[in-house]
Amino acid sequence: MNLRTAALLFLSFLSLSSCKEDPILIPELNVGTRKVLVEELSGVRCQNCPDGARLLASLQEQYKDNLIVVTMHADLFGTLVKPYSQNDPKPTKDDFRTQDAIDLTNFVGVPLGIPAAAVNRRQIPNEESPFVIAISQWSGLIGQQLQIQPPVGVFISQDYDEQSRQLDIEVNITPDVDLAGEHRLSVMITQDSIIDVQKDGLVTVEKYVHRHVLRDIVTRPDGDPITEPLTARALITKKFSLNLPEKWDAKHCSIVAFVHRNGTPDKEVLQAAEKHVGE
Amino acid sequence: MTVPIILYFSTMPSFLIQRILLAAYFFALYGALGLIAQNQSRVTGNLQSNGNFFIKDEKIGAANTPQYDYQKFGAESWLNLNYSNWGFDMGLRFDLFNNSNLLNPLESYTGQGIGRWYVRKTIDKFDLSGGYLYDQIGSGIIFRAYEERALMIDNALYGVKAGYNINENWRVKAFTGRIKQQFDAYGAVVRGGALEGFIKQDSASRLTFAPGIGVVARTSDDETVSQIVNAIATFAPADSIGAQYNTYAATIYNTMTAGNFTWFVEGAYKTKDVMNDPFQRRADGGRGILVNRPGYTVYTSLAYANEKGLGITVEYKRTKDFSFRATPFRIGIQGPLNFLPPMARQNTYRLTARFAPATQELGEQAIQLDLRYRLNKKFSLGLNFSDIQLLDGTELYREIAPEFTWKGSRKWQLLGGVQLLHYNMPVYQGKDEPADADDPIQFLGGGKENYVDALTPYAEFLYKFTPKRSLRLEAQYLLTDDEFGSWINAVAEIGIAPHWLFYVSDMYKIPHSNPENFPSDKTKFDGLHYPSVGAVYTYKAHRFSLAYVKQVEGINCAGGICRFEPTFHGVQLRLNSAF
Repeated sequence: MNLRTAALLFLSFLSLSSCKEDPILIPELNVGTRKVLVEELSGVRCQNCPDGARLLASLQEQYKDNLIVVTMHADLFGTLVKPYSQNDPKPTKDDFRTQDAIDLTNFVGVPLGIPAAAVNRRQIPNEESPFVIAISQWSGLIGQQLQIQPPVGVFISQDYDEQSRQLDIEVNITPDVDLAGEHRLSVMITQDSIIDVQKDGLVTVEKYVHRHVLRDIVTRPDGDPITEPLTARALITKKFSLNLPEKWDAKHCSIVAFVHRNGTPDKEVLQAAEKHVGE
Repeated sequence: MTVPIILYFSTMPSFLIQRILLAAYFFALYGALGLIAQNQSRVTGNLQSNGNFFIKDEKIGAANTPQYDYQKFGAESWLNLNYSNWGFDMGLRFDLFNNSNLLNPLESYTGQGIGRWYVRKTIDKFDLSGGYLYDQIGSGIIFRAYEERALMIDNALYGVKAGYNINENWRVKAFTGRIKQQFDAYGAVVRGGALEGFIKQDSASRLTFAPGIGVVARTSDDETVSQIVNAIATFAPADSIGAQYNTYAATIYNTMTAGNFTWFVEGAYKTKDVMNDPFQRRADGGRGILVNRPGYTVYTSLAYANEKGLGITVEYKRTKDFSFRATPFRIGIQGPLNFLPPMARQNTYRLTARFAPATQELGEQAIQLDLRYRLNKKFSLGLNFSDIQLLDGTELYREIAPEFTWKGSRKWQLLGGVQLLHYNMPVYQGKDEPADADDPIQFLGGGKENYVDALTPYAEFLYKFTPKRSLRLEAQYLLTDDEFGSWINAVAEIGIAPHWLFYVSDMYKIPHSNPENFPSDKTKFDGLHYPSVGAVYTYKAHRFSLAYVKQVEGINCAGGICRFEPTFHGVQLRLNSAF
């Protein structure tokens, strides 16, 4: 019986001896020059995806230009990504799926499901893919990334001709420190505020506002290798030119450029920039 | 000396531990094999290997994964060796995943190494063990470390455990460690213990009690807390929550046996815990946010069985905010510390198992009744009923399944039944299900918005030509207008004992009679066949199977996240061997 009492005391001690802990202080986030890139995977038949989009929109209100979002519709998740056909009561007008989105997702790492977001492609320890499927985890990862000083600057300038719809892009890369290893530059075109069908919860919304939809990756989907040495105070300039297709509304299009690593699994984005077409 | 050695191991890099263990293990094994005739040593083991050859077929969606596009082959294998001698038990398991789609059906996972090792020693009344340990407290509500290979669940406790037998009826144990994650471990530290006993008044008494209490505490790692804190910092004031490093869970349970009755009851409470609630509304109107709430679970099961062939089991469970994971950012099958008992029967036929209810760990209440009655030597009846609801009363799952078994003679046996199903599609699979005025089972209340209503009759017939030759036939017909509509499935299996088993099956999607009235997504499988054909060879404790398989796609959602389970098309090789 004494031993039993001792065992009970031991268990009580085990559970209660350290119940009290110092409260955790919630810090105020300091946002510097770091611009955080969120690559979001979505689908027009994915009923939980608008929840992710709303969270990112809310965070963009908070962080303004420091948060850059690209929404990709990669045809890797079965019916969740398929557009509504003409037989459906509310057919899709525009198909957002692109081969670039598939290639990029395969390059970064395919998640278990959608919605999913890669925050600066930061690889979380022991995770298979930088794409995170728990929405509640996104804001914490974004907050962490915003506090990191970027080791390189990325700046976009552009020239858009409304008549010919030709877009000339110039990206300047300015490292603050010497960067070793292989680095790549990715340049994308996104289109904001596209009105089209979307499943939102249990409702099929006919006039849903699709945000930051990936239209094209101007570079290779896995990024163009930066062959010049990335030494401190160097200036590396890359130029691109393309014609915007008629169906893209140029006034809602943006250029997104970012420098990232090309390791396995380290593909982290070091700095990003965004500029509206015609701005 | 055992414990200090194990504690020292826990501070060493895992690759170093693996190499030392491998060398020590094979040294011990070599010695054991040499001394096997002289000692009481024992070596046992088993091997399980899966090989999948992927055949691309874009028409049925067997495409766009690395395995279908270019890898063409994937494999998983587990080689387990156990050795006992000198009062020690030790074991080592080599795990291999080559281009495997088991971890993520959309991705390719490759990794190999020591998936498990353990050492156990009994000294008088003490029982000490270290390594990767499987164990549970009570029914597992506050703690269960277990392995389920088919689902890629292996949440062993990587740590140490000490047990002490107070007397022949009472036992106490305590443990600490981290939860396994593939070839690593989650950062959170888990510690806990339990006291369990057995009470019987005297040897003639038919009244016994098996009470127990247990506690578990989880201390989150800095990386997880940092992510939580940074997430909370971005919350609107209305959404803001606190956070803490430590969460505690306690449980009390008892099994009472009184004659033909067995009654198990368990109640568990968990202190405030930061959890991912995918359905909680945020201030911005979206859903999905971290919450910090305490929770509880109550589970009870009452069973009665007599010699006349009557058996009844009634179960009840109520769960509120009892997600208990290594980190709140893991969902589905990833990182659980505990196991909440499911409240629906495990269906084995392909079509009766098509709509399965995942446990809602943030809140559900459920009741299940299982009744068996043997009328005579030839005829027996069964009935299973389960009903699962959200805590606000929203219906999630209702299954009514009466069935009978008729043993006509020594040569044949017939089993028949019907499953009536009511299944909440948005909660379990993340898909909507519109109201359907033409639902063929409206007489059973079918056609309701958001629900799959299905009527599935099934039958299984076994005929023994000779004691060694048998034929088994099974068939199911899933009647519904919901999801993709009605299906039929049939299996024929010939057994040639003791070595061979051959089978062929086909699952067929019955076309809609008026497809133009349905969205394309509902009719996309119309008229497609999903055949399988295979052979199984068994020799002693070794089983080898080869099958051509075509399986339909599906979407499974858990915790608000939807996982696309792609079609499988290819050849499957399986090897199970014990020695």
